[in-house]
Amino acid sequence: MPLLALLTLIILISLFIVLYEKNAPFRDNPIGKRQFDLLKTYTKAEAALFYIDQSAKYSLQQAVYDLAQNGGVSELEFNDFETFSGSDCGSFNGAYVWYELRKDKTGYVENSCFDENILNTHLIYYFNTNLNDYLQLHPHNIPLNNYQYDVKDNLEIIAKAHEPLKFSILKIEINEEIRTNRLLKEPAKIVAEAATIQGNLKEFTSTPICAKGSRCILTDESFNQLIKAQEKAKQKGVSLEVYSSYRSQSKQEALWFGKTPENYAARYVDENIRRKYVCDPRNGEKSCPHMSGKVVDIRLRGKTTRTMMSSDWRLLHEIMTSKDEDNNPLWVRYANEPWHFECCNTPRYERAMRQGVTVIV
Amino acid sequence: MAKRKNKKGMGLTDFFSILAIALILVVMYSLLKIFVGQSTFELKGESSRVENIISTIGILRTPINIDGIDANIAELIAVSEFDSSKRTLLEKNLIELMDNSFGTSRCSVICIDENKIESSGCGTFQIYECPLDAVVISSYDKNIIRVAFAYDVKPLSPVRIP
Repeated sequence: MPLLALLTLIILISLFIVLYEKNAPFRDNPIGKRQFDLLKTYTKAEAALFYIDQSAKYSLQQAVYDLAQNGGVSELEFNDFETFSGSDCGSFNGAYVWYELRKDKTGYVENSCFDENILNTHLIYYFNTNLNDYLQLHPHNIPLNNYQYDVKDNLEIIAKAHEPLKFSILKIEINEEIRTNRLLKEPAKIVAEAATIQGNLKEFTSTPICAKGSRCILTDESFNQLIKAQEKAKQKGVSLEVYSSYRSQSKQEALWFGKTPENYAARYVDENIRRKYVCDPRNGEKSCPHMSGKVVDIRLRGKTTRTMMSSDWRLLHEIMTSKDEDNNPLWVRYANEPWHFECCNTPRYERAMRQGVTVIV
Repeated sequence: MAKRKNKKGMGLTDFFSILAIALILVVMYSLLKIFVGQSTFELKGESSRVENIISTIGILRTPINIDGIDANIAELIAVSEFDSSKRTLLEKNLIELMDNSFGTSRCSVICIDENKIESSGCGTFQIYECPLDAVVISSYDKNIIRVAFAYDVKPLSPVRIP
């Protein structure tokens, strides 16, 4: 009988250990949780797709209105001071001229300025701008400028996505605001959230220093410089936000050859004029520094390029060009664009170093 | 010659052994109860959350004719933000939809931002809370509208004063 008591004790202790150990992982990930996470992610994605569908419907209605109101012409905004419509005759009293009658020595010269062939380009541009406004409002990070459009008869727009919508199934749900504040207070933690995608390229999309809807990729070295700049920004009580960074060869080619909503190729048929606004990818990184992964278009977090005041641009410049441990500027600025900064020995950065300046053409 | 067994002694050992086993069982059961706790994860709760979101999307996709134009409930919600005359139509349609799809014996609630619409199954003098999980839809003025739906909603303890 004592042997039986001892045996019972041993069996029950073993049972306790086994059950206790089984219970440990059970608390964090109970049976069925993964399956429900998958279902929840599916419903989130379904809701986001529904949101995109509805937004596209409203965007098209608004685009038709905008296009009609603007005389069938859309204006590309390069910055606060420069817009381009592509209309040869310009505007009169705020309305674009469709037909021009000019008098010269030989008499009256007629000029038809309204090009019906690129009407769809203008419509798509308006549509995409409106859609971006909607997508930016969605709580999930939906990529902007992510579609290639095709206009069918009777005002039907077919859109094909370049990048898929990404939803994390296993990510622990934490309050976005708490996460953002934590990361901005300790920029070093952003490094842990960035992922190496290929070679020396790091992707930091969905982190607080990447604008919502943008895909942010930089080289390792440039990314470290950006984190250093964010440290400086934190000291000044602000934060940085990258809205354009690395562009792949195919992305830059899409821009150049008119495969984006702006359709630069149709607006600027003459390549020499187009080069003023878009860089030619056939010359590689030399003419397109964004392709190097060492360039950012950046602004202060919480602002847009339209709402950035001159004092904001000055502060941004001060932060980005602050000195590193070797007394070199972290980044240098392209003189024609207050948002464009380069680092890490790009040709422009090296020229700026030789001349001892932080702003250079 | 074999030693005679002490019968009284054997009885005592047996008694203490059985007592020890009983004690061990009690102690081990208590330990298991204390240390091997229950999971806080509720399958029923999770299931109803997922169901509610799927139902909300279904409601929003429901086709409806607004002044001769084929649209859906999401568009009617967006229109009624600007056109107050469409609010009555929206409310009527949503109540009908909830009653037909989820029955009148249980209470279903749909909240459009702060505006709460209850099905016929909800008690007149009861207070019901808006569901937490919402689906976001776009409005005409480039804003977002939160739509949350839940069925079989239980009333809060205080009652409305008639």
